[in-house]
Amino acid sequence: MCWGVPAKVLETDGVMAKVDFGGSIKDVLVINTDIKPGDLVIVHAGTIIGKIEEEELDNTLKLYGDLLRDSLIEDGMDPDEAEKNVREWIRYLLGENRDG
Amino acid sequence: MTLSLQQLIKIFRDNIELANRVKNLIEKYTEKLVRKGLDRVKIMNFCGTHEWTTVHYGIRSLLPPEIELVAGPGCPVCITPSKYIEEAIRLSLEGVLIYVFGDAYKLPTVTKVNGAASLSEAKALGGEIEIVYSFLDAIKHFRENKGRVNEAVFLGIGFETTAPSYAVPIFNNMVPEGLYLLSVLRLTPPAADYALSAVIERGLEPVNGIVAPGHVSTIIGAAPWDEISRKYKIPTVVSGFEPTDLLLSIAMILKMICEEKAGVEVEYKRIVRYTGNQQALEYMYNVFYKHEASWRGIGFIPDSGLKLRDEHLGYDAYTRFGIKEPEKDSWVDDLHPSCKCAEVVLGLKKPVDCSLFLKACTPERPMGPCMVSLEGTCAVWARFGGGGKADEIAKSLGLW
Ligand code: SF4
Ligand code: SF4
Repeated sequence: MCWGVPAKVLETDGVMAKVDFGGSIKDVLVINTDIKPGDLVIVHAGTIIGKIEEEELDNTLKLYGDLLRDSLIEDGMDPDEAEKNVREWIRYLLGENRDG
Repeated sequence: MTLSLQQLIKIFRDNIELANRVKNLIEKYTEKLVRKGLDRVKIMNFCGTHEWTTVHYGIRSLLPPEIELVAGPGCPVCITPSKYIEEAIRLSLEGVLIYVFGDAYKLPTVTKVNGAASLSEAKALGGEIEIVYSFLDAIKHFRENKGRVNEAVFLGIGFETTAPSYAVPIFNNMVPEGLYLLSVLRLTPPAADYALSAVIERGLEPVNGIVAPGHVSTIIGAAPWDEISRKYKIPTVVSGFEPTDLLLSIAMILKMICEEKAGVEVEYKRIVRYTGNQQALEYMYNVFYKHEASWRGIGFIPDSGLKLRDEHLGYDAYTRFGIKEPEKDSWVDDLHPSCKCAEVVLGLKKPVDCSLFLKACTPERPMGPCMVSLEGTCAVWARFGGGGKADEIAKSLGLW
């Protein structure tokens, strides 16, 4: 029941905000006073429950990179080589999905 | 690198190569665990959306046979006691408008009220019922229909994720006179604690790791999961909802088991903070307080529900209509005698263990609550049943 849908904040007015769900505009409730136009947020049951931290998007891929690096090193790969390998692979993933 | 949300979602949803690489990591950790003598790893999720992703994308069929993913109490619809629905039916037939989430509209009761065993049946009998997406929509609808509608009750189902959507309007005096909240809000960590101890008490294979709910944790943070993880000495990862989020979280859990680490890590970093959403929690606890609350088919769990505080009783449906909550001393299990929802919800049984599954009980004619909500474990299994993916999964689990 807790589906959260990403949306972009268009304007805020106290505890209300207008958000854009990829074309459909809706009025929603705001919990956090620091929410501002332009923010990417998650909306659940007509309420902005949190802000998507865009810096953290990279960190999710990094989590994967860390696992991969550890495992390569464990397999006997030299740490520098493993690091290079991980970087290349992530760059490839990003390149592949450039126009997402 | 800078990644946009669309890019990340695309990578985590569609990139088969990435999914495969994470799958390889999972296999590697599993081999390591087997070498250490652990040849069964049980990982429990506490979120209906995670179960949906798991089944929809066939995650179980991607995992080595040693890894078992079980669904815990993950959907607030499934665990709402029958008594509350019965009260809502009664009110609707007395002319009080009931607002309800679509998910709960077909929720079956154990006892019929004036011939109706669900709100949808009550509507057919002339009950006043309106399906809405949110409390905010109900407020709007009630305002627009003032005059025609005098009194209305919102069936306030939900976990921590949904609680702020009630707390913000109540705290800010946005709720019009005549609209009341029937709070059936429930809290996830106490139920997780309960489910984990039930597994131990019943002498079942212990749970080795937890996938914690992403959106509940957006509100409460990762900290409460840290406490539970340390209590049961198992790792927890707060996960996002794309298939690769889930695979990555499983890999992280397995790695932590290999390293004998308890505690919590966050995979869903893009939205979950360790301390949660403090302003949301403030709203919640300014408006509500915790009480020992009942869970459908399970009974009472301490500090697992939210009730309106005294200063907000003007919005309280219990007070206005003299509704009594179920009582501990007189609690009887509120399920059809053959329905195994309580065990399904606690991760003790799978839907296919229920003799009614896809026979007497189907999404069209649900006999138990887990078959109703889109995210109820039985409904998820049923909806993808009869087809390739579910058969594959079932076969890989050795079920069919
Ligand atoms: S976020 Fe909460 S309500 Fe939503 S599916 Fe997960 S556990 Fe259920
Ligand atoms: S299949 Fe139906 S009756 Fe059986 S446990 Fe699931 S909801 Fe209950």
